[in-house]
Amino acid sequence: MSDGTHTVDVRGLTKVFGAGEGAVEALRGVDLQVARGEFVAVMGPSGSGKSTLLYLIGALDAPTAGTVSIDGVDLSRMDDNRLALLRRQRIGFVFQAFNLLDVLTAEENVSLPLVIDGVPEAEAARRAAESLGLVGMSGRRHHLPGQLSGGEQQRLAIARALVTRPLLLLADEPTGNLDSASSDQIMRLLCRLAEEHGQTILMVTHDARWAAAANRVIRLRDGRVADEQTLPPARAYPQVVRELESQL
Amino acid sequence: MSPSRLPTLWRYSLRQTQRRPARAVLTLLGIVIGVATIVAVSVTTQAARRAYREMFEALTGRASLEVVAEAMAGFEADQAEELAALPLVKAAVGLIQKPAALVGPSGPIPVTVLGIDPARDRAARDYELHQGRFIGEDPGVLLGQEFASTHGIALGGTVRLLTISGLVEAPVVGLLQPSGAARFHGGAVVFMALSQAQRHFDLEGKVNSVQLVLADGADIGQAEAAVRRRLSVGQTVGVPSERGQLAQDALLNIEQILAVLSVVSMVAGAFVILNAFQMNLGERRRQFAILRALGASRRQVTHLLLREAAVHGVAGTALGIAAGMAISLSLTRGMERLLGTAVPSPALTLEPLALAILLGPAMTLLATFGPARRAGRRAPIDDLLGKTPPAGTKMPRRWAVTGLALIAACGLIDLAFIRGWLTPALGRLLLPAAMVLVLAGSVLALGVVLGPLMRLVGAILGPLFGIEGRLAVRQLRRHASRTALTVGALMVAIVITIGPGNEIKSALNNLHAWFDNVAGANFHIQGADTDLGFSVSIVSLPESLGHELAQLDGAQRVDRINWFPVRAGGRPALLIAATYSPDRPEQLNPAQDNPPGVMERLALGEVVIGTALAQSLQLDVGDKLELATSKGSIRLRIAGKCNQYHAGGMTVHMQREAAGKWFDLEGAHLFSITADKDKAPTLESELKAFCGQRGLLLHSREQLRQDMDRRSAGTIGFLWVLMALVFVVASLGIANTLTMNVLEQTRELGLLRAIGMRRGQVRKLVLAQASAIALAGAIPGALLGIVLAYMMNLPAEWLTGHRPPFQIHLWLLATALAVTVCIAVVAALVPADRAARLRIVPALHYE
Repeated sequence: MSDGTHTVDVRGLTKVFGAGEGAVEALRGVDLQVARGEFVAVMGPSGSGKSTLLYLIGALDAPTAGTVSIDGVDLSRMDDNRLALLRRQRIGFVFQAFNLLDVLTAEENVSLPLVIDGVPEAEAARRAAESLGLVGMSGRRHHLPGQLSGGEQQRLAIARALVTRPLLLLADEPTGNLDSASSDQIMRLLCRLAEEHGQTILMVTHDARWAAAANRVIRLRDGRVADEQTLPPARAYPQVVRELESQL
Repeated sequence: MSPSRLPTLWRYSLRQTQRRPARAVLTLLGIVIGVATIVAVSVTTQAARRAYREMFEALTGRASLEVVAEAMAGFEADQAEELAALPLVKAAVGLIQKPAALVGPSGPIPVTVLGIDPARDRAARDYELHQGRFIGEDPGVLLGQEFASTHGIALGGTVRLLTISGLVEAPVVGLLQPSGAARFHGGAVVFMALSQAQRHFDLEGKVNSVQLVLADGADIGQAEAAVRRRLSVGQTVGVPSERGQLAQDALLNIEQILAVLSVVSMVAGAFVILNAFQMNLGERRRQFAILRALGASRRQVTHLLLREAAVHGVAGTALGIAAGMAISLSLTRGMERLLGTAVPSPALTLEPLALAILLGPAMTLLATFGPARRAGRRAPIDDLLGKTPPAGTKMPRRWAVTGLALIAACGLIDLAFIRGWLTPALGRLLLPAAMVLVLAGSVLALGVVLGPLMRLVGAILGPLFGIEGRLAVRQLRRHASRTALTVGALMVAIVITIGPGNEIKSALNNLHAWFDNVAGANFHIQGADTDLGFSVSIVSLPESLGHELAQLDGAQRVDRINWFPVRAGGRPALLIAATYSPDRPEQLNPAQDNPPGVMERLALGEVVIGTALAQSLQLDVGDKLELATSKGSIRLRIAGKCNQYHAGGMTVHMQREAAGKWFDLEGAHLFSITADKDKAPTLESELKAFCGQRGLLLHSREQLRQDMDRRSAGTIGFLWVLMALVFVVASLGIANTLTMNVLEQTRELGLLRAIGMRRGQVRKLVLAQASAIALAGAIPGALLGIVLAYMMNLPAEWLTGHRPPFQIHLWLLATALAVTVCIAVVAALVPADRAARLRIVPALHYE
């Protein structure tokens, strides 16, 4: 049972894919808590279970065992409709592959979660414009995703994730498909969101440079939490990057 | 509303549709075909049914009831006075209605002569003169202005009418506007004074119809009862439009075929929609996963898809209604030829409109509901990560179970058919349902047989395509769901060709066999072509013509035939009175189960009845048939049954001599002349001269057969065109599916290229896949097509009273299979070329 003080509270989380001899244990009893306003990075090698953990927390998949609580509410007690509502109103997703709808313009993509939530079109458009402004994409609102660069598409995805003012932003390898310059822009943006807006962020990455921007880094290995590191607070992102780059 | 002002999700759907216009068109075509067929068939059937009703209503004007004698025999004219005295009757108008032939330069034209009392007829009918004057007691006639103009007849000119008294000439004294009775029979009506008609038709002092205009507010039932009490033996009173009932019965058979084809088209259309929709969903899985990740509920995704389907359904329905109306124009012309009478222009009435509005979107939603629901219920994570293969690797188990259940339900209905557990009405209702069940069930259950089927196909194609063939089949088996969908599309295309096609061909064969039996004589002479209902165009010819014909060189034998509508066992039927020779029993096209001695009993005054009439009245050999005659009701023993196509098999056959005792035969309606051996050419030239002089219509046996084919060509042609259309659309579905097949295999094909497969081999692989799919669809499709044809053969017994032997037309099977394989291979050419040209690295990274 969650104590309700954490935005994310994961207890004994286990996920097994397949059955019988071919079964694969992606997560083996993971415990994790993320406090409100915290920026947590999850690292680990391929197959360590970091993305699986993210999707379970994001209510995109169901665990084999264990519990996930978001803001004190146990997801296992929610039916599919309530989970959809949770994703719609309280969670924002940023994917490695952007996952934008290519037939919709930037503004339409951003307003989509609000439209799904039944917000009137005009209000959704206004808030989408705000969100686009937040990520510096106001000038591209009528562009289709295909007309944008990779970095711009990811900023668009972040604007979409933020438009509902979510409690939790989940980012799965947000820089995985981007070049260095674009990755840098995205990380600056995420840091700014955490620092200036107090946005709770849980980010999966396999790149230590970007993980260093978080307040805390969780390392997964073979489906278990292998290591946890709390980083010094109040480090502005550019400074972090400079430090990291000097080490490389 | 402009697209930019549409709500976001509508815009998304609209742009998604615009992105794949070909697929949207394919979906629409599936709906259009189904709806258009339903509308065309329904509207045309209604128009055909309306033809006789409106015709007789136009003829009777304000009259609500009509008194006639059986077989339209004459009765005393002063009976009209007696009926006019009844309290509920406002006016009673006696007249003569007789078919005749208007002899023109292009041959005889069937017309109806109305002999009216010029002084009193306006009580029942209005006449609007276009030119000239109204008729008096003189020999002058009135014609419809349009009819006269079409046939080059001017005011003041003379018309030549072929009647029972021979050729009659009369001046045209007036031309009528095309309204009221002048619209009867497409305007082919000649008005003359009653006294003149009585003379020309040997009915001195008589009429053969009294039309009753009822008093204002009079109850028609009460009036009918009051009139009935005053009638003499052999007379009936009724609503005038009932006289077209025989034609409507004759239409039942063709209506049943059209209705079945409508249902088959709907199912085929629904499958095309399903096919296109499945492809659509397969391609958009990731998008739905994104929507789900953003918080869309399962229901929202399902609703989004169903809304898209509904929009297609509504658009397709609107187009289908328009297309159906366009098709009905040509189908109505075909029906007109078949009926031999004018059919009113098709009109979109509430019934077909409601049917289309209901069925169009319903078939779309029905075809898409399952896939849309499944799309909404998919776990988003796999599709987001691209973990799931683009199409399912196995058929959902529920599909197979549902499919087998549907087939079992169809089997039960068939069993009930065969065992005779169903009433004809229920059977007619259930038959199309059974066909839908077996078609849908077979497609759904395809997964059960797909494994063995693909092994069989692999064995056939292996030697032809070598390693590429084996790889192709293996690939198809791995993607069972996708393969089943494509194979299903092909299977449906084949089924709808073989099923109805086989039955149409069988029906034509049976019709020709019947014709060869009943039309044995070399030449046939009539006053004019008859209509299908034998209601308006049976011209009586003088008996004396028979004697003259017998004198011609080469005429071995002249038979006289009369046919006219009667009431047999209370039902409208066609009485055919002819000289039936004991040595030519085939003349009757007798039923297989007749007892011996039928022809002898016929000579003794018994009757032979059509199997449809026997079925309708539930009578058999040895029973008594009640026959209404102008001399009262008689009961005659049924000597045997025969398989007839005249009047849809609602026929009563009597020796002409015996019929003459009960009916006023009024000359003959047809002379059949058998030529002496080797003298047919001589006789033909003599007959041409003979008929030319007298304005008669001469047909050789071959011409009569051609005429029969010509009459049915419009309707049969429609059936073939419709099947071809459905086949083409289903083929487009195949092209669509094959293209998707290749698209979804991009990564696998890239891999094959990466490990050394040559471009030519990839092309061969894709073509082998297309051939394998074609064969896999063709084998069950052919079997199911035969099953469908058999099911279409089942209800024939109810409609015609006999079930023609079930035939399988192998050439049709072979053609359908060959065309299917060709279409599949042609459809695969472009995808094969695309596959061969794939760039390896991008293909390996294709999601």
